[in-house]
Amino acid sequence: MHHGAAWTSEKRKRSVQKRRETRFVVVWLTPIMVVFALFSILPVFWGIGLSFFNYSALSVHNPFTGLANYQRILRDPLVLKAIGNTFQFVLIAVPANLLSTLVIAMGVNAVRSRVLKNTLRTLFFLPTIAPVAGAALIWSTMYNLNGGLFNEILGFLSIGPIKWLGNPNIAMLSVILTTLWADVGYNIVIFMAGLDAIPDVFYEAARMDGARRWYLLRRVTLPLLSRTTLFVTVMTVISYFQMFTQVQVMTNGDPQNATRVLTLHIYTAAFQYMDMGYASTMATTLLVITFVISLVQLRIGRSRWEY
Amino acid sequence: MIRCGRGLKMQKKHTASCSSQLARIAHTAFATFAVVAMALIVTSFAAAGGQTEVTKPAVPSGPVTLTWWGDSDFEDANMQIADGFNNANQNITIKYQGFPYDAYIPKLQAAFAARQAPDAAQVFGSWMPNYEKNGLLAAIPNAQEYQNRFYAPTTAGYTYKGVLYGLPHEFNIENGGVLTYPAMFKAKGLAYPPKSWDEIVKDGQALTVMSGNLFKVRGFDFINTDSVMFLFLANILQQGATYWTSDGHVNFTSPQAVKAMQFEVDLINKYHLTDLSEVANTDIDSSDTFFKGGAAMSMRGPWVIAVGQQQYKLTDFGYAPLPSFVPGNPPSFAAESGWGEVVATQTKYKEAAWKFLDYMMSKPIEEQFNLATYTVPADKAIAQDPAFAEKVPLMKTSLNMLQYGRPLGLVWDRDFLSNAIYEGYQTMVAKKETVEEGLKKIQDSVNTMIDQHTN
Repeated sequence: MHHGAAWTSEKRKRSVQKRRETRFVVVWLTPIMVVFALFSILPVFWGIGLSFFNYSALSVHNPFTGLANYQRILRDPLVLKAIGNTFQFVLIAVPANLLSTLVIAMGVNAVRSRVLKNTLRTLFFLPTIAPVAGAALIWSTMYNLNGGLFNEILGFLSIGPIKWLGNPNIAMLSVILTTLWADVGYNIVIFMAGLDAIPDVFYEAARMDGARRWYLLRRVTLPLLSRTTLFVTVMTVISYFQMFTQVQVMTNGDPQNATRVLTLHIYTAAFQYMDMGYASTMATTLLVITFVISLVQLRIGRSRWEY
Repeated sequence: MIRCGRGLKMQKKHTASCSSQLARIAHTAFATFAVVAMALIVTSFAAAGGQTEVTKPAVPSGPVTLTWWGDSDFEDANMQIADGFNNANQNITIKYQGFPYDAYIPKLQAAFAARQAPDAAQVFGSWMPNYEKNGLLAAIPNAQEYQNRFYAPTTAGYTYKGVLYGLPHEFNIENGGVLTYPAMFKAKGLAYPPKSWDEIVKDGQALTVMSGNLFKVRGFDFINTDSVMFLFLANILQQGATYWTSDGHVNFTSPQAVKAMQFEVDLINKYHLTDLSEVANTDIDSSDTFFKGGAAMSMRGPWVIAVGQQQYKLTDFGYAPLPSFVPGNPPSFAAESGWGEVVATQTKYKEAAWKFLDYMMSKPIEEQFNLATYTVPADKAIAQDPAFAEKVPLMKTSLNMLQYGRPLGLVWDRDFLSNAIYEGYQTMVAKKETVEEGLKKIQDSVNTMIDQHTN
């Protein structure tokens, strides 16, 4: 009986404690969750809903069209071109970003002087904090056919000028270059943090067994960096699928729609042509594409290494 | 150690119950999420399906303040009008707000969509069909008085199903004239101005200056969304044809349309008078290239004359007439409705708004606006007044062309039309499509857009 009474009292205490914790969580999380639901979750579902209507903000009547907007996407060569351009951008820019940021992060991490290391990290991060629109504007002047910085340098080297933004075969690469310049700092900092988190004991043990640099990279660094790499990859892919500012400022989809990405086409449909229903359809399609690809990445990139 | 939900530390032997606990939490969370998501989607459907009408408020008495929106490019001219009206009318105060062009379009759409429109607005005519269709603009009283006063293309954009909803200030002409440097013609011993398209092509070739593969001076430049479209449409009209079908769709696959587009493609591919290298340059317009000495001739509307005079401080350029595509045929051209004034249906002060519009449409104020903004008058009496032409000598070319203007037609989304033609043109120049294929694609996409608005 004495044992039973003590156990009941202990159980009652835990129950009170649990109620207090629940109340605390509800009181403090509810406002932020309401704001999050209102401004992040609801617009997503609102957009999905709009995609089934022929919707214009000026109209009183917006007829339900079912799947007609989705069928329209399949018949619209410009949308298909925009999707193709978006994938082209991601497939080139993401590996280029990951490779360059990892190499730079490893290089900066190898610097012994703490002051120099921090200075380099700051310098690489600076472009990330610059406004993207401003950076894109400056890069577009540097790409100018006549008098642009890059063609002036080429002229100094007796090389003919290049139509950086005027040649449909090169324009996308020019936009990618600008994006990489603006973006690498962020991933460099994350990779550096990931590299710092790898315990030295693994490198010491491997070196004691005669491992060389290339072996250390392949068998120690990269595997133990896998979680960081997965995070950086997923975030970069999501970000690049939504890339918009550089294209709108630098080329507006030209030349010959070579740089027309899906986000730009969504913007044009929504705010230039006021075809909100169709724009919502394209936005929903982009959401599904990004979601599926992120899921696949998370599945494939699951880390098998713990330390 | 494996941490398993709710802060419980579990040993290996408890893994099974830990997993089931996590599974229960996951199922509950998912079920909750699914219910909330369905509720939100249903709410979205219901809300997206329609909007409630706003009842009109009662008309107040006493002093009235009218909100009047316009383009900030016309700030000085509009402030002058507002001040003049305010001084002449003690009971009505005009509160003017100007917006940059790019921001003005979505601002106006959002305001009307939210039923928070200004009382009166200075707008571009080709933006208006959707507003008129949805009953957002008030019909002009005594419209008959105005119909004969203005050129037909200037009121077409403000007219829907025979009802006039706005009054124009401007004849928006993008045809009929070309920026030139007469000194360049004289230096090459060429007759000025060129009197036929054959002469334009020959003169353009003579005036072209290359630096390797790049243009230093383009012989004849027209690469912008307006000029490519309006040159194409004008060439169809000048062949005596039309680009409209009887059921309100466009026809861009007629022999005349193919001939017109082939000629434009030849201006680049065959005659090498310009190229598409600056197409992606969003910083400058083709008129800027001209004013910087990068073109000998540049097709643009007369509104750029003010840019050359005021911004570039140039005095040595001219504005020559463009001849008809078919010698002997009139130089007909398509024109959209330009800047004008509308009144919102929901305004509480309709009488005051009409009074303000009457003031703006009086001949002295109209002329004052046209002179201050260097816009071609929509009012026939002003446009045909020799005294007006003397005040704007470089506009004489355009004033002489106004009689040949034809309404562009009800395209619903003029930007869509011009972008479709401009993008298709680039593809044809790049030889990724034949002219016939390219025009068919443009026609199909524009007609799909028209159907979206009419169904």
